Amino acid sequence: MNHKLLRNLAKSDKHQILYHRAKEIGTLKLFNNDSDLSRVQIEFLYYLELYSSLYKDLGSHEPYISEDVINDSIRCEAYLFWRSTQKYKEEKEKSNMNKKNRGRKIDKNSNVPHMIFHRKKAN
Amino acid sequence: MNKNEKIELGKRQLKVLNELEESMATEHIIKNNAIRFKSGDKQFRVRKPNFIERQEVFTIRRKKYLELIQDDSMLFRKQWVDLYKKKDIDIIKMEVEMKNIQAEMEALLLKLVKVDDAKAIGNIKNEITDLRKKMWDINVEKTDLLQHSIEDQLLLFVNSYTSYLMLEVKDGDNWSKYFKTYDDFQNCKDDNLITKVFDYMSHLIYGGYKNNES
Repeated sequence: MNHKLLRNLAKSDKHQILYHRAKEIGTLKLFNNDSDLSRVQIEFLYYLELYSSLYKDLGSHEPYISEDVINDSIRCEAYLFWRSTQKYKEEKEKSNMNKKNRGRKIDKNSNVPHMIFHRKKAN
Repeated sequence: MNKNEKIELGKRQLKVLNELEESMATEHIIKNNAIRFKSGDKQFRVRKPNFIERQEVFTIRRKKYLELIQDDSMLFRKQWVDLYKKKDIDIIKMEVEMKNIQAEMEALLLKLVKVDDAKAIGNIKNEITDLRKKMWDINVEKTDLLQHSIEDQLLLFVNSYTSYLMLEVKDGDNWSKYFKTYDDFQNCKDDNLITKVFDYMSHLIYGGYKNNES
């Protein structure tokens, strides 16, 4: 067995439907065992979630994703890599913006005296 | 339909059947945390080790490690790397090379995402496949060079011991350990059985390790 087989199985309609129904209906089981999952079962769950997210991206017309991309392992890897770097970039930008704005909001209408604390600069 | 077309159709049907069989085998493997299989006239299963067995593996691993480090003919990975360096085989350089290939592959992946033209897609995919192969070859070479290190020998031993613990045979309605002792496991002549046990043990503990989709 290899990753390709595992991915194909996770990508299949049957397992995607089962995965979504299992998330909605708690009693529906994907595996015979409820706990102590094997490594290959954990990997399978990872691929189920991965393909579910790819189909969501396809449904919401995200750039660079298509049925062809999902069915081509290298192009799929390329899209996932691009998406992770893109999301990382966006989150970093967001966090930088938050850092810049933090502590700068001053309520000018308030009568309560306020102070701004600055961290001592390291020598 | 001429003879060649019939042969071609037969090949295609055989391929579909093989894929179906593989797919069913994969489905069987992921269904449970114990994998059942038949060998000869016996029904076997490989299951995940329980807490007590994991403790046993941990203890036996420590003993083996002590034995290995007291053996003057055994060296750590780092010592092998230094030794190879003296013989002009640079493992550190191999690792740097693999990192560089990885960076090159990532750049190509980002390029591939934005390409629409089928020919350009094919070319980039070929480049990525070539780089992957190159990286795979270096990795195999590195693994071969370090296979006698204490770390690798210890891992081999632990995997082997775990496989021995995990194999059970069906006896009526009950499952019992197939090999009574680790020596029995080591002396087993049934290569087919041992290969299967190792393979299934790997799936249960390390996952679908053969990443050969390209």
